[in-house]
Amino acid sequence: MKLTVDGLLVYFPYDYIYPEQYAYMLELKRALDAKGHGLLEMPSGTGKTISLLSLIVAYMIQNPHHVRKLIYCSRTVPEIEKVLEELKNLIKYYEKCQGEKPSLTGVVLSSRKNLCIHPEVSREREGKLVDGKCHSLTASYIRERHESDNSIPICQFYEGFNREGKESMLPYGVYTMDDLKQYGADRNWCPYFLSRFAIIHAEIVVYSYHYLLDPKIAEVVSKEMNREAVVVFDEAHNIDNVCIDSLSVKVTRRTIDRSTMALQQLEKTVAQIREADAARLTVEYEQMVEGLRHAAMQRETDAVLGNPILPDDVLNEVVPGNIRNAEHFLSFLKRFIEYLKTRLRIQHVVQESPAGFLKDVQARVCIERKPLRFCATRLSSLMKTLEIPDPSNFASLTLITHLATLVSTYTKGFTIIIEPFDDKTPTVSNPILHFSCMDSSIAMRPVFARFQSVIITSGTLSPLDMYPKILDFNPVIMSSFTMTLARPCILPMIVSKGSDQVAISSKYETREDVAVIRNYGQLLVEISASVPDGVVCFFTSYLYLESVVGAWYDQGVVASLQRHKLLFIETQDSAETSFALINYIKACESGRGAVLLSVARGKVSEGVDFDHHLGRAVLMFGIPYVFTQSRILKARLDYLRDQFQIRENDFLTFDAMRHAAQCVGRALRGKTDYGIMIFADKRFSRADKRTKLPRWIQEHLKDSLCNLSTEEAVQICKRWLRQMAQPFTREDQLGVSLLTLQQLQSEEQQEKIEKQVIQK
Amino acid sequence: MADDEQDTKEYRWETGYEKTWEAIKEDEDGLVEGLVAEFAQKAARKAVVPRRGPVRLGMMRHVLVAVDCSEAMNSQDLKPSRFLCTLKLLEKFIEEYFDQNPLSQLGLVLMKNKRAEKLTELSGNVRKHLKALQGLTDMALTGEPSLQNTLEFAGRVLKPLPAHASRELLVLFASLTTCDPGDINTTIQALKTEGIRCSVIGLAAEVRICKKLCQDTGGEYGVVLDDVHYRSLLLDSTSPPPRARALDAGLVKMGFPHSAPQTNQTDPGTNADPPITVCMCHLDDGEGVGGEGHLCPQCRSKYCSLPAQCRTCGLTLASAPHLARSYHHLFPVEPYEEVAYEGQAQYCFACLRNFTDIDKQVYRCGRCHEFYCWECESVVSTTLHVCPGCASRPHLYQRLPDSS
Amino acid sequence: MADDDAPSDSSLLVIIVDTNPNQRYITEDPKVLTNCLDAVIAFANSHLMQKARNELAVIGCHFHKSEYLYPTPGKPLDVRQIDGQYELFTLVEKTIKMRLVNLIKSQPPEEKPGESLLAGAVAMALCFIAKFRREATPGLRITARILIVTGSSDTAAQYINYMNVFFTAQKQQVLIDVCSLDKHLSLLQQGCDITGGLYLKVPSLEGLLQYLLWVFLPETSERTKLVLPGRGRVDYRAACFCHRELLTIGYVCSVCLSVFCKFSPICTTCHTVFKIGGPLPIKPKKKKMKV
Repeated sequence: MKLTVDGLLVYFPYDYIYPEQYAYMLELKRALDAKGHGLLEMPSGTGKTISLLSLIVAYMIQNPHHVRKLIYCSRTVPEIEKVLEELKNLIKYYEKCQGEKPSLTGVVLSSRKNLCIHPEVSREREGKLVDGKCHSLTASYIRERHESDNSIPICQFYEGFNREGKESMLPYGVYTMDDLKQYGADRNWCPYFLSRFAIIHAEIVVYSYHYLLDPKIAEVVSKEMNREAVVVFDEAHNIDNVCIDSLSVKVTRRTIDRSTMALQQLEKTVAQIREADAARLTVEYEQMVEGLRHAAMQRETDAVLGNPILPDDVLNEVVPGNIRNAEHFLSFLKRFIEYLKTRLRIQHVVQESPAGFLKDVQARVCIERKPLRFCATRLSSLMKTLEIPDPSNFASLTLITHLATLVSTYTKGFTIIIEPFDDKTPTVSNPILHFSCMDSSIAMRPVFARFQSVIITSGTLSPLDMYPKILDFNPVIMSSFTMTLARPCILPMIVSKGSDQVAISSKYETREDVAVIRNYGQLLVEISASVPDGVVCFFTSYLYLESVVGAWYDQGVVASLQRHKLLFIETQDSAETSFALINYIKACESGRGAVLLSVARGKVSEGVDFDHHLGRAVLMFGIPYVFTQSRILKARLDYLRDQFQIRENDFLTFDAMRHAAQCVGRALRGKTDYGIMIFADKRFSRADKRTKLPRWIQEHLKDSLCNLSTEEAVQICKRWLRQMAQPFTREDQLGVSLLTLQQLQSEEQQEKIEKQVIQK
Repeated sequence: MADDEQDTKEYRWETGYEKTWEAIKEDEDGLVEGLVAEFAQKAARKAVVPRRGPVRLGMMRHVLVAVDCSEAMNSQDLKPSRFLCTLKLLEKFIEEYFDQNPLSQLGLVLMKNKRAEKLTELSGNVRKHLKALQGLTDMALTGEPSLQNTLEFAGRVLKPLPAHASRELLVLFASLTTCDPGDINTTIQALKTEGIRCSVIGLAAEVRICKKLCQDTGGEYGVVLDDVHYRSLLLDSTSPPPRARALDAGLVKMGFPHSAPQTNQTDPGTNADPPITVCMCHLDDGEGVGGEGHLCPQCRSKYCSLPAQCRTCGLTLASAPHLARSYHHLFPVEPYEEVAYEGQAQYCFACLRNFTDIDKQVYRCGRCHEFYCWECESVVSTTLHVCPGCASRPHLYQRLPDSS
Repeated sequence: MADDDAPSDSSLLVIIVDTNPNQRYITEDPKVLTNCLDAVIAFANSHLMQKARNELAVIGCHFHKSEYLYPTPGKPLDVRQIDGQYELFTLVEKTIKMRLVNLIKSQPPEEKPGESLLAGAVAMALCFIAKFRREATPGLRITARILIVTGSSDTAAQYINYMNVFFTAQKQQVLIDVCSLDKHLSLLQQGCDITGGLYLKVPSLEGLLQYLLWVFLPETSERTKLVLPGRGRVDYRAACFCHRELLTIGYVCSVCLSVFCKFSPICTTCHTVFKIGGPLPIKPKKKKMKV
């Protein structure tokens, strides 16, 4: 249908629209008009993607000067594929309505692993290996060598692209990964490089977060994006963690050992080159003197090692003298690595700020700050000069240089923690140096500054006001939407005690209590006896999961559970987990019914959807707090308290609740779906935790559903399941939760929708 | 919603008559009576509407009823237990079924202990089925059911039947899981190609495999809210389904036996008792020795009750009223129009009940223009199938020109 | 039909009187109608006399419509005692006579009288019985029966209506008794057979009251103890749709159940096309299914 949103004509490729989609589009338009940033929360399964796409595409077509580009960032490859499918659908609809294709190109960019069509290289399983092999075929010096010596292999697809591809533009349309591969294969062009070239000009770009946030990659890929662009971060509830991870480094003894070996190899190579072709090294030397390093980086194929710091922080200066010479640089690195080795030889935990660390470095090994800053660039240019084909062997060394550059560039917002052993295995000596970023706004800042409108959206962003604080930006729009339902298809419940009136909780003190574990077991058995098909359970950690399941075996809970359903457990091994998942789905489909035990921050809770019969009930055993004894976390909490005045408790609760909401949100994917969500911990009923649940869950969490015992909860479930099993057709939804164009345009609907949006 | 917050904890399903999720509200005086009547009227109305016009109905039906006899049937959320409630309702179902489909046959199957056991053969004898059901009351219920085995059993039984009769399976399923030996999807496909229509009535909650089964084979899936709803769902299945696609229309040869055997013609004067003969339906049981009975027109074998299928010559035997019993599906009574009560009439035409304030709606026949109360309307549409007003008007009583 | 053996607390009798002016016994001698009516009223009163709780309804079936002669909808007549007669009987007599006169007066003069539409009257009676049963005090055992007093002949045009009301009566355990004043009514006799009532063709009209009191007054539970006129042979053969002949073997369309005397490729009622090649083969003998 074609509808008007605040004066803008939007083509929506479906005949029916949800009221909340319309409200979402209204808010989105306001954010775009104001050329500001937005924070929007809308529950999963309500067509967020298509609302975003249709509104922004319509906006782009109508105001091409305001918004020239849409950059859509998502988390995982399946999600990206879904977005592309919706986009294709939308463009097809446009074509149908207007008779011709709109002049838009939509391209996806993914890693080489997903886009390579070279018969040998694409056979590699691991991404790093694919990258390495590709580099060995496409590096500029390899290609130069090939011109003189034909036997050296190069990639024909890249050559083809290089020759012809840069002249022509991709014809209008949407290109998924398979489309790109096909296009490339037809013309003998490399899809990856084609895509990298195309995203500069394409109107709609879809890729993963890292291409925009991780400085190592972003600099290479996204630096030529223009300002009049709208950036959308979808499923962005974890975006602060992504920002933090992209700027953090972890160094273990193994890294040290490996980098030492790599260094020795480099020294040998340098010595060889010095003998054979001293001219190369001198050329490099001179380039550095003249500060021409920028020119060297222009060649896209050589930019394999990105700079770990943000582009603004890269010094526009000449490389300092003491590392210009290759041998000097290598001995410099050797000293630094030795220093790290000594730092790791400690018996107790040390926490330090970067400034302190630098001082210590200077005091002990006379390494100054400035040369450290250039470590990363220096190493990459050295590797290029030495024409090392496969830099994947030097990963540890690269890591060290990243550490060096980061530590010397940033003084605020980072911390260094050295632990003599991993907390989980106190007896094994395994010293680790954590260089962790504590401030997620550092990585986000350039994105906010560079682009006109950044929209952060997800299904679980509550409490909304936390994000502007920790990401340090000012949104013009901050809204949360609920689902309008024709029938109450969620049943959230808080179970706080077992049938024997013992309060259940995953609190650390009560974790080992036999009664609590037994109550959890009882709850699970009763639920699986009353709920058909699939039940998913989330524990707070792997350790907890294992200890509880072990206790359950002894108590006989597992035996009684297996009488009703089959049991599957997620482990830390991803192959085992996917096997378990496949069989879980098979059991649910065939009528046998199954229970899946998984962990709140594991792979299952992040990526897998349990819609309809796969997840009729979701149980959350306990509150998924992060491991609160971790020092990194403590450091971050301190930093947040000092910088942003966020109390530790608030932040921890916020983090735990968003994970909990994310887990239970797996069960509901759509309006005809229905599911039970049980929060099994007495602490959930406290107001400070309840209010942090997303609005669309809180709406259904009446007071009578908090603080239930197992028996009561099971009774309520039974009754509710019967009611939900009654036939529910589209006609029942029309007018309430599903609207046709006429219904949408009626006055009262408009009013209702306005009321639905709550501004914070 | 939950009255569980009160002091007395209720551990059993004792919440009484539970409406659907539209809660009942009291009117200004706090009376619920009028709204109960309204609700019942609405429900009755909903039941009538789908049957309109001359629908092609597969009249001769062969239905297998499979009853779940697993542990889940012990649960007490239907009084006195799911199993006993099911047995009782099944008795009513069987009576109503043969009432509505006199030419059809019924068979009972038990889903016991992961196997499908036959309780009664596919036959038209009401008493046999009822007796078998009554013998089940003390059965112990253990184990899990196997849906696939039941489906295969039904397939085996129903497959050899001729295609002009509709073949159906009704499963009463209380368990939430099924323990199957193989891939149930292949069985479902096989049933679908055979044209066997499977319906499921779930007693607990919606199970995906049942839903898939019903969707694929063209049946209906219902989940009961309480025993009243259970009863209405069961009685819904007594009505013939809209004709399945796989049915072939056929002309079936039938015999209509004359009521009693002829008295001895050589001796018209004596009032002799008819000769004692054994009837064919009880050949194995040893009962049924007597004088009265019906003789098959083709082969003269005696049968004590109709309808029956002659074992000797294969002819279906019925009597004219049996056929006429199903005519109301073909010539249905036109549904009454619902109008708000504004004093159009003082009393109901059919039963002479005075209209009071409780009657918010009255019903008006579109043809004879008389007003009826909602109770008469439900009697007319469910049982009577004749509008009293139209039937007593000379220009209206004939339904179709060529009706006999 | 099977009833309780114990006598009931209350018995409801609905009498349907056929007042169609073109019945033969009326056209021959119009005065006979008054006598028959008196007999019926006397019979009705004696029914009320059997038990204090017995109830009565009378429906008059005229050719243009049927109406309740007793009880009146709305307020009953105001009666006073006359020569020692129980007020209820007076009320019954007066009401019936008055309303019958109104009914006859209301007949449209131009129309020629058609056949008696007894099926409609029986339908009304069944609704009345249903209402009565609903509104009675719970726990009260009520038996109900319908008595049809008619002199018309059977018509096949009302077959479907008759069959529907007969089956409904059977389901609701209502007996249908038929007292035929003139002709043999095979269709109504089938109805009596189906519902378990009595069929009687009165040999002479003068003794109508005697026959009524003897045959039709006793209730179901008492009838088993008396020797009453036998059932006779009821003809249950079906009539074919094309010639209206009675058949012992016929061909039945499996879609609409219409009966034909010989095979035809298309069903005339529902227009289904049958497989060419003659009727379907005889159904195979049922084999015993082994578990």
